[in-house]
Parts: sequence; structure tokens; C-alpha cells
Amino acid sequence: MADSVTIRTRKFLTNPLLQRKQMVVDVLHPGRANVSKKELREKLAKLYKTDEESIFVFGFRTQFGGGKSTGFALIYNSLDSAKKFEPKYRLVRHGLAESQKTARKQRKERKNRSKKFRGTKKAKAAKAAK
Amino acid sequence: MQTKTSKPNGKPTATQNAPVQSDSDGYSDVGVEDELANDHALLEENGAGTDSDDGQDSSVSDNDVEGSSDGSQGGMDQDASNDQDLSGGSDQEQGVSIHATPDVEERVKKDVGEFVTLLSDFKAKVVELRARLAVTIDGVQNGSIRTSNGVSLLEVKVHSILSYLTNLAFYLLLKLHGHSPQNHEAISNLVELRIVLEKIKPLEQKLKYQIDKLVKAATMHEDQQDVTGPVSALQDPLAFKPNPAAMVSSATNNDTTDGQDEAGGVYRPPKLAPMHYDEQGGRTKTGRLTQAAKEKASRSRLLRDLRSQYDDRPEEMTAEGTGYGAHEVGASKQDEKWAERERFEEENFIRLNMTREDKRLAANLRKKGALMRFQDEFQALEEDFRDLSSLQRAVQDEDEIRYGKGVLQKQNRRAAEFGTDRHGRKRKFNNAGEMISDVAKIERTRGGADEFGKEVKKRKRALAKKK
Repeated sequence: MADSVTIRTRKFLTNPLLQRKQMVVDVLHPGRANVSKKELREKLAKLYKTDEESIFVFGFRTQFGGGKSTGFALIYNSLDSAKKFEPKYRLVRHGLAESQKTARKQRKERKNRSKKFRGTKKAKAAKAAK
Repeated sequence: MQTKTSKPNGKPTATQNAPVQSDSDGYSDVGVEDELANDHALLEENGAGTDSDDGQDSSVSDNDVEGSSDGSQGGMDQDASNDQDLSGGSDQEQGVSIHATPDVEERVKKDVGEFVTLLSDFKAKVVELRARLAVTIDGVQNGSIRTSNGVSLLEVKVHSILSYLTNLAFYLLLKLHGHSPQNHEAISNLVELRIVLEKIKPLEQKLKYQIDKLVKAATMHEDQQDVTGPVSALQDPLAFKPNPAAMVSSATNNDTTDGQDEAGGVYRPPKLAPMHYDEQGGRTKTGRLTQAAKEKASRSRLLRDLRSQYDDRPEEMTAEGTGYGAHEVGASKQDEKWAERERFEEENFIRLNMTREDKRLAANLRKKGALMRFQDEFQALEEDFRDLSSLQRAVQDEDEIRYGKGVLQKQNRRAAEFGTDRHGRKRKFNNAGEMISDVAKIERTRGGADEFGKEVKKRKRALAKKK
């Protein structure tokens, strides 16, 4: 059963340069392991009366002994500003962006292969090896 | 000097009364008249030196010699005849200051009686003096009294006094013979010597102590010819008076640079590096109880337990594991580091990566958390008792440095802690005097002007009287 989850925010700061509000979030969840990020976003949206999609939560760490975790939350003014200012990986977490399909290793190998050639032959060579 | 033989007329009564001494050194008992004659010879010599009164002086001397030889019957008669001769002689000469007016003669006759008595006195004293001097002159001539290597100031004084006397006698002579003593060399000599004597006086005053000591030593040396051991006056160091001038060091002339800078008109402050002023001073020997040691000791479990036992403040419990607690007391450095890290992260909205050591420690904590707490207890116990002896020694050292040793330490400590009682609260009185005056309800004033002081004085006076 889900016990009561309490959310407290500390160090609230409005950041107009990045068009967002940033804060430290303390989550009290006695008896539970920890609260998922999705749930937290819902709760924060209810608390600050904004769209859930423009809330980004990260860096949660449970305190020793359990029952309490601390993390950060950013609430953007709009989704567009969020897309502009948020790092790629967080957008990917939310599904607002697509990550690289190819593996990192493959990319690097391709790059190294194309280093052997010059000009338009690069593209031919890369494709050919593959 | 020409020693005249005794006159054929015989010596006057005064000198006949005096004992005739024929000394071995050749000084005959020359009468006063002969002395006067000798003075006349001197007068002749001196007269030869001066410019103006050459011929006149010689003529005067001749006249006077005649006068003295004539009137050598009795002292009084001789003097009277001398005076008359003087007046007579003056009439004969030209340019003499004394005129033979009847007024002058009357005045002279008045003073004659007194003059005669004075002269007879003078004669007697001269004879006595001659007798006494004979011994000293004998000593000097034999060599038993050494006149060299003495105090040079005294020699100068003696010689200047002698020449002063000589000049004075000559001046009197001039006056007696009716010559105006103005613009004479003797007067200038007298003035010069007078100045010299006056200058010698303060110098002699300064040397008085030394001269007295020397004289004393000399007399003692004469008395006891065989001085054995450090008993003599000059060898005993306690026999000398204190000399504070000897305590002034010669290195006190360092203010030559102070005045020169200001002479240019601009004040330039001295270029000195600022040094920290240590009020307590002399605490180079700080002992073993350094600041770090003190802090460590304060954090130890033993002291924390003691503090919780005796302190009045409310106790603080750590809220470890509850999720509600405030920051616990930083009992270890690790906790402090962790707290610092947290602060940074929250400040900058960033999560720092954990290093390998940190991960290891976190893992340890998770695995053996409870066990480590028990271990910590026993370790702390051991540490506390291990540090206790060193702590004690350190406290002892600090007490020694601050208060001294032994009984003095106890006294000083009690004196320092008099104003506060055992629990550290400030007492009502600052010292014993205040307490007494408060208890006895006496108003204490400075200098003993109050009742208590007066009473004390009265009692003291009574005691002194009794004695």
C-alpha cells in the first residue's frame, strides 16, 4: 500500500534567463523504497499548477536509512523553452527527443575509417566498408 | 730676597717678647720692621717693572728706609713716626695723591690706635706661623713630604692664593705710601686671581669627596704602617658613596636621526614593518595543550558525556535514520566532508560524482553500519583513557606556565579565581578589602582618611609612644 508521500521544496529560485523556476525537492516517503520520477512530476504539477510536461526532475538520492530522498526540479515556462534549454538526455527521458540510433562504437569506427580518405571518397568508403 | 741684618737701634719691644729662634735652615728671626724693609725692596723691584712711577718710587723707598731706621725705638713710636714721615715724605714729592691737610691728619690720628693694636696682633701671629711653617718646610726640603703628583687643582689653588696674597700686600703697601693704586698692574692681577679662585671653588666642591677619601687613606696609612687584609679604606668597596652616573650606559645617543627628517619640512613616518603585539607576551612555551589538541579533546566521547552531565543546556539527539532530523553534530571528519558536499550540490544544482573511495566507504557503511557503531563505542573508550594522561600532563604544563610552580602556583591561582566561585559565577566582591568593608559597614577611602584608617593610625602612635 502506498503510504503518504510528502513533498517539500527548498531553495526556490526563479531563473528568468533560462525561463524556468528551479528548486531543491525533499520527498518524504516512510515505508517506501523511493518515489518514481513520473509520480513526482504529477505531484509537482498539482502543487505549482503547471503543465506536467514542462517539469523536469533529476538527481534524486535516498538518505541513509531510507524514508527521505532529495533531488532537484526545474519548471519551465513553456515546452518550447524547455526544448531549447534542457540537455538532450533529459528530453530523451521524457520522450521529447530521439537519441542516436547507432551505437557509439559504430560511429567512432566509421569516423576512423573515413580518416583514411579525402573528399567525396570519404562517404563512398564509409558506406562501402559497412 | 735681601735679608737685612738686625738694626743697630735694636728690635722693638714686641719682637723682643717673642722667643728667639735660630733655625738651622738659615731663616733668622727677622723683625716686622725688617719684613717691611724687605717689602720696600720688593716695592723697589716692582716699581722697576712699571712704567710711570719709576723715579718716584725709588725716592720714596729711600725716604722710608730712612724713616724706619730712625724710628725703631718702640712699636708705637715707630708707627707714629712712620706716619709722620709718610706725611712729611709726601710733602717733599710731587704728584702724590695724599695732601697733608689738617682734616686728613685728624682722621689718621683717630685710626692710629686701632691700627697699632692690629699690627701688634699681626706681629704675634706671624711669629707663631713662622714657627709652625718651619716644620713643614723642613719636611719638604728633606723630601719626607712629597709635593709632586698631588691633586693638580689643589696646587693651582695654593699658588693662586699665594700670588693673590702677594698682590694684596703690594696693594696695601701702595696705599700706605700714598700712591694711587689705580691702573696698577697689581689691581689687574688681583682681579684675575679672584676670578680664578672663584672658578676653582665649584670644581673643588665636585672633587671634595675624592680628596677627602685620599686624605683619609693617607692618614690611615700613616697610622697603621702594616695594613693587612682588605681593611684599608680604599680597598673596602662598601666604604664608597653611590655613584649613579656610572649606571648611565654610553649607548643612549640614538636620537640623531629623529630631528633631521623634520628639518626638510615634510614629515616622513619611519619605515617599520608592522609587528603583531602579543598582549600576553612570553608565551613561547605554550605547552602541549595546543589549539588542535584542545579541539580534539572537546570532541572526545568522555568530555561529551561530562558536558551532558553538568551542562544546563537542553540535550540534542541525532535524528539519524528517521528522515526528520536536522544536521547532527559533526562527530567525525567524514560527516563534515559529506555535509560540505551536500551543501555544494544544492547550491549549484548539480550532482557530484562519487570517487572510488567514496563508493567504497558508502558500501561499507551499508553493509556493516550497525556493527561499526558498536566498534566505535569501544574504540572511543580506549582512546579516551589513552588521551587522559596526556591531557592531564598538558593541563599541568599550562598551569605552570601561567601561574608558576608549587605553593606560588596555588596562591596565584586562588588570587586569579577569587572573583568567581566554583561554578564560574561572579562573586559579589572583587577582593578581601571590599568584603571586610561591606561586612563591617565601614566606608573605605583612599589614604586611610576614613574611620578605620584613623583608628589604625591612633593605635600605631600609641604603640610608638609606649616604646
